[in-house]
Amino acid sequence: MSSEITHDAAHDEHDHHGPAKGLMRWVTTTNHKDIGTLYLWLSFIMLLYGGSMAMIIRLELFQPGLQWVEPHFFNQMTTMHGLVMVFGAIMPAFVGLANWLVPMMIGAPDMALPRLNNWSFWLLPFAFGILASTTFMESGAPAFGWTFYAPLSTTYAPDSTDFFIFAVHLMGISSVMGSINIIATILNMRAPGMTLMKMPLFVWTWLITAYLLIAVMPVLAGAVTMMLTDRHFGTSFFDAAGGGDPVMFQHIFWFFGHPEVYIMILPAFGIISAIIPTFARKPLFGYSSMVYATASIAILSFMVWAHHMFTVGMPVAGELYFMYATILISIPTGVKVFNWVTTMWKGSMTFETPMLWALGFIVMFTIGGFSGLMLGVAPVDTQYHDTYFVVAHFHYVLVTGALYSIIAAFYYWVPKWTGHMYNETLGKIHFWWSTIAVNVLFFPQHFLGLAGMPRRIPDYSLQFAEFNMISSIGGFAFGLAQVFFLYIVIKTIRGGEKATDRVWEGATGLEFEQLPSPPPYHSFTEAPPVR
Amino acid sequence: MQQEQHEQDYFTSAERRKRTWRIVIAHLLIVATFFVATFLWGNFE
Repeated sequence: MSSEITHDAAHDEHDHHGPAKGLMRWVTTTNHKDIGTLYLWLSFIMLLYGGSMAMIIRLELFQPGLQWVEPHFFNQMTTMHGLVMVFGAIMPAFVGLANWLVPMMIGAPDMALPRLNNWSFWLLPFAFGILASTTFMESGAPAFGWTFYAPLSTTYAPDSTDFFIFAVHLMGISSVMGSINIIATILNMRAPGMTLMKMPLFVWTWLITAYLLIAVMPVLAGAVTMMLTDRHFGTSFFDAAGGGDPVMFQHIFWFFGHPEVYIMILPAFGIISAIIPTFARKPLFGYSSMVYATASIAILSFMVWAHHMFTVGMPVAGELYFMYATILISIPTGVKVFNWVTTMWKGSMTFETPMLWALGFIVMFTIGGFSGLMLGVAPVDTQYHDTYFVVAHFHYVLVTGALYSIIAAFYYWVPKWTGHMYNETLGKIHFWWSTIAVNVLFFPQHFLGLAGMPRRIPDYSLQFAEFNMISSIGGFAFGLAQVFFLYIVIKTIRGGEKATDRVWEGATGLEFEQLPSPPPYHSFTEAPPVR
Repeated sequence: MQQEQHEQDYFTSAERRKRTWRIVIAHLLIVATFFVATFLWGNFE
């Protein structure tokens, strides 16, 4: 256990005020910790909202035949579930973690542009409010899938699509502003001695992620703007009748969409790289190779987009290029997995809740990685494309990958944030409940896909009935486990055993070594010493 | 006096703030380039 870290509270009181009281604290805040908390709560609300749509989807698929909802409403649910989980749950959670952790990890007092930070956050509730409101419109919510391929999203789209376009623009502006803020903070606000190659990997992965965001968010904004002009201003970017090309939409979308996949997983790699060394009580194996692997993955992510559209009709040379480039990504990803495993090798390991989630991540994200390799092989993708195999693959990557890392991060850093330890027994119950349920939910979907069940359908042939029923039972159990998680979060915030300043015996980094638990409202107003 | 102190502090010096704005403008140019390039790509037919 670490010794008590004293903090000069008098200095803070003299120079700075504490948080304002009431609602206006949260509306007008420019404090990175407050904004981080706002992002994390928004993402949790969106997780429950998107999760409730997943429950409707699994309820309808519990049995063959149409039981509960109309097919058109089912399509709205799959579309909104994807959009809300990607843009509302996973991305804001990582931005929230970046807000809380990046300044504390590099020894900065706050983000470089605190007022811009406030604006970046407060655009989001309005964006998601607009998106959610489409469900109650006469035409219903968008129902063309989260990939919003033209012409489903242009010629044949419901009127509510314009609200969707505006919401995506707002999300894009928020992401770009947030990314530039993170880049400016990391490049210009590090404490003296915090060289780039001394930064914690979470900071490195976020720096690289921010560059991915500023490169691809404008492409997404361009795509939805072209959709808007095709719909209302007489252009034909994606309309073959006017000389345009609907396949071009898919190229542009996936030029955004594939780096987006890495936007949702690179910060997860940073989190796992913080947790594994702490509970293995060994420094991270291969720090510099981790940095280079992250950069390699980011660069390659711009060169592989067409593997999402192998069946669209590409020249064989194109398919071969995209296949080989895709499979190349497994090399830097493999470097990361082997480095985590090697970090644990002969370590003095203990299995507290954050470590369990991190280990769950390594095992199950790797399963998602392997099914990704299968999908990357162009000839066999012809069989897998648009089946439940793809659904199983990206849920292993995004749920047992990205979401697991976010939950691991919560358990790892919440004692630092709140000064309270979570209940270890409840945390472990949450892990095992979720892990059993998530595998019951998603593993059978591999078999369904291989047997030919298409995705995005409300009804299916009888031979798929058993695996769908098993999958739905797993889905309900997993959903309930996250309601249990909400209880744990609230219980931990409200009180609990007092956390020490170091929190974990093996923890390293400025936030654990230089700040008390919880940290003061304004931390590092003077640059801390960096070893 | 307070302003002077602010200008000399490690994190809030004038030079550091100037560098922040240079970083912001440079990255906004990247954003603008990708946005415009998307339209050129979408229209190359």
